[in-house]
Amino acid sequence: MSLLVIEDIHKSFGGNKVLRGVSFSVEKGEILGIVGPNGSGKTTLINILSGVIKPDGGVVVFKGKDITGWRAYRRAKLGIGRTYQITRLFTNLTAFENVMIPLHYGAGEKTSVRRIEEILETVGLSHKIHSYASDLSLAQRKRLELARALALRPELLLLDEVFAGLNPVAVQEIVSLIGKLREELGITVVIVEHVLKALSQLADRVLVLAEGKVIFSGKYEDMVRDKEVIKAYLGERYGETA
Amino acid sequence: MEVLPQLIIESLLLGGFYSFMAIGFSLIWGVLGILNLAYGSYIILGAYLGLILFRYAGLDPILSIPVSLFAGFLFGVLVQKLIFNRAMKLEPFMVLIMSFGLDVLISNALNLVFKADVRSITVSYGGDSFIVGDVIIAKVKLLVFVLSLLLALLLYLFLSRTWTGRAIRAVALDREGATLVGIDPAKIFLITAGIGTAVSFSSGNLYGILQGFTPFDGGLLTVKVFLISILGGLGRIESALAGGFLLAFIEVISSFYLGEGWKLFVALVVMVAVLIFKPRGLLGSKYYGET
Amino acid sequence: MAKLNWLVLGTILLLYALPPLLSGYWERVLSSVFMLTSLTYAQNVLLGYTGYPAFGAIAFFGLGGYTTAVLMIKVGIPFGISLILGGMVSGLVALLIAPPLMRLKSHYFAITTLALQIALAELSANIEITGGAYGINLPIYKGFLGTTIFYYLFLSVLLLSFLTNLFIERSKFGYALKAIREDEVAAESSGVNTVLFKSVSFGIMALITGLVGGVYAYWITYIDPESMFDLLLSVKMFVALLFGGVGTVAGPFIGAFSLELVSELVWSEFIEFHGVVLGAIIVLVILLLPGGILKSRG
Repeated sequence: MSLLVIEDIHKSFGGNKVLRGVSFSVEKGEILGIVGPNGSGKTTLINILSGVIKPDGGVVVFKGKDITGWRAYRRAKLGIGRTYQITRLFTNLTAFENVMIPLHYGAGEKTSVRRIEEILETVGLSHKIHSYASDLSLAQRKRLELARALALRPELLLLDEVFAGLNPVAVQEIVSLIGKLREELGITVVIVEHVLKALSQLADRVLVLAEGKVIFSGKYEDMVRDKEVIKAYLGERYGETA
Repeated sequence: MEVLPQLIIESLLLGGFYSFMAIGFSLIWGVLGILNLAYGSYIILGAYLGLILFRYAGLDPILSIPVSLFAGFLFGVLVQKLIFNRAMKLEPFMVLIMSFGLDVLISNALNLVFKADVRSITVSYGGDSFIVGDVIIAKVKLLVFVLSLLLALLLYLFLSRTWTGRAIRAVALDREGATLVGIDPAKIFLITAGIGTAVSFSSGNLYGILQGFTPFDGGLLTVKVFLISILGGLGRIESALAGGFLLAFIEVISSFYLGEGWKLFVALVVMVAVLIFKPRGLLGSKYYGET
Repeated sequence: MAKLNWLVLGTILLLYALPPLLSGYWERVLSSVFMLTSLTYAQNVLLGYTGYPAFGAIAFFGLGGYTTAVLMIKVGIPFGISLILGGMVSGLVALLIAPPLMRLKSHYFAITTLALQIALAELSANIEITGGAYGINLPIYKGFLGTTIFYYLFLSVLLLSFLTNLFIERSKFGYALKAIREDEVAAESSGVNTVLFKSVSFGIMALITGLVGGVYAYWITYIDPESMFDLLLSVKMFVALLFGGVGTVAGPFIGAFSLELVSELVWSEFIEFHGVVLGAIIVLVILLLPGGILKSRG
């Protein structure tokens, strides 16, 4: 059974149809990359999966449960963690507190200092445990957001442009971190991304969205050769990024 | 006797004044993002100014409107420079509290000078009425109605036909975009605060002819301009007109059928419903601060 | 920071021993200081920890006060029970209206609560059970401790509101509120049921504010819409909160005590200038001390 199945998701804002019938499924332990030109509905899709917005039509099934109508906090408790394109940390709280909140309210675990240190250690931030989130660098904020998602003990991690704005070294570090999370914790990852190179290393499978529809699903190597995809999106862009 | 025609005429006459009175508040809110709770006290300041000019200079309150407009503009620019420019960097809620402090300051200062007695500007033509069929129209209400709409029309022409007016609307719609095309928002803020306050002062003239006033009547007027802005939506003259007539209609109808004491309650209930279910106002225009 | 909190607690407990040494005048002054401080603590729960500015929070002061008075006079329930019921009615009404109301943010939320306050004032001026615009007369309390009882009642509500703030500052419950204050969307995706927690926060604010209103009603023995729904009281508590430091445990105490004591001692000498000076102070506190004396971090 697939971990996550979505069927025929529709969403419009005003008269603007952002998603028009998106369906796919994600297997347990898989890393799925989602790419697409700007405005293709990638972030909207992540928002629908995490429950931040409701779809106009379609079904979201996670671990065999229909969670389409569920609010975000229930999905978090069920094991869906996420990060945001522009980080949304609890800025006036410390790294410790940022992790403690999802650990208590999401995972329902006892919040011992050791457990929180462990989680921060996973993302390489244990030395910043008492820093305020607003005092961290962009790369550190992205790591802290990842730690906050991990504190939910998620089975599915939704990453929205996690590499945006990072330098190549920081990108490599996060790439290996995500790889490690899958190896060691068996976390399934859906990752929406512009940085194609990072995806080529990570993703088992890539999905291409264009104009609110899935136009390709398959291996990264096949995607870059797919005529439909090249026409919709990669044409000139691929030359720049790869 | 059929009362409905009379009620409708009363609503229309009152609505014209309400609309004009609220334009300044709505403009300041729409363009600067400031909800100025001292606005009602500005109107009362204008009423006292009209009274002084009437008493000591023998100037008819209608003729002193240009003076009020000018004085209001200066006052508005000054308060913007001294106080609101600094406050605009703060949370909107802090500015709300601060503007209430300004209201307390102005109304109490007026009370020190004029005492709490009810004053009024009694013009010689105040008592007469026209009678058309079953409907009685007080001359003074008709005069205020006509002047209000005339002033509103002038403002409309200013906002839509002049460069400054267009720049104000541009800043209201998109502050960053306006900066990109070379408009200096700081200057626009000053001008808008000036115009908004000029509107409040001159509507004070009209208010003084319509009814008696005391230093502490500003609070209720603020509630009214606020109701009008929420009911109609922000930042456009059309919205203020829609909101003004709607509030007048609600007030007149609910006073007649439920009693004078219920009119504000009914208007507030309608407003809370609008805020929760249609927060952009009934006309739903776009304005600064929308997210 | 933590030391300061214990100092405040110590001061509150010490104040219980003070009445034998106080003149009637000082008893009244301190009672009104306690009242403002409790109201400020109630607001701190909502604005300081949850990030919602209920500009018209005095709606619940009036609701609590009127409920207490109506239950005593029209139903004949003893004061103590009426007071508790008054607070509970206030809190429950808040809890019920919170989910739709708190979909609004920032100054839209602020002004909607203000509309609610004015609407309740208008309602109480128009219906019979509240005595309309004439209000309600309550009997003068002549029982145990005489009027000193009100000193103790206000002080006890203050203690309760202080302990509530202390609990929120340190507990997991408080972290749910802080998460909402910092970022509601992120709070929700961290597993916090934001609608539930912000509604409870609103309810706690209203419960305390309603209790204060109930004690006040019996203290002044005569209530009318104007005295129970006084916007100036709203603003004073926000100024006290902003002055002392939003989102801190000691801030409301420091802010409300200094504001109310100064107001009583200095301005009572210059009654006619009181309003002008108060207005100027409000403007200056916001312009010069936007962050307050105490900071909520570190």
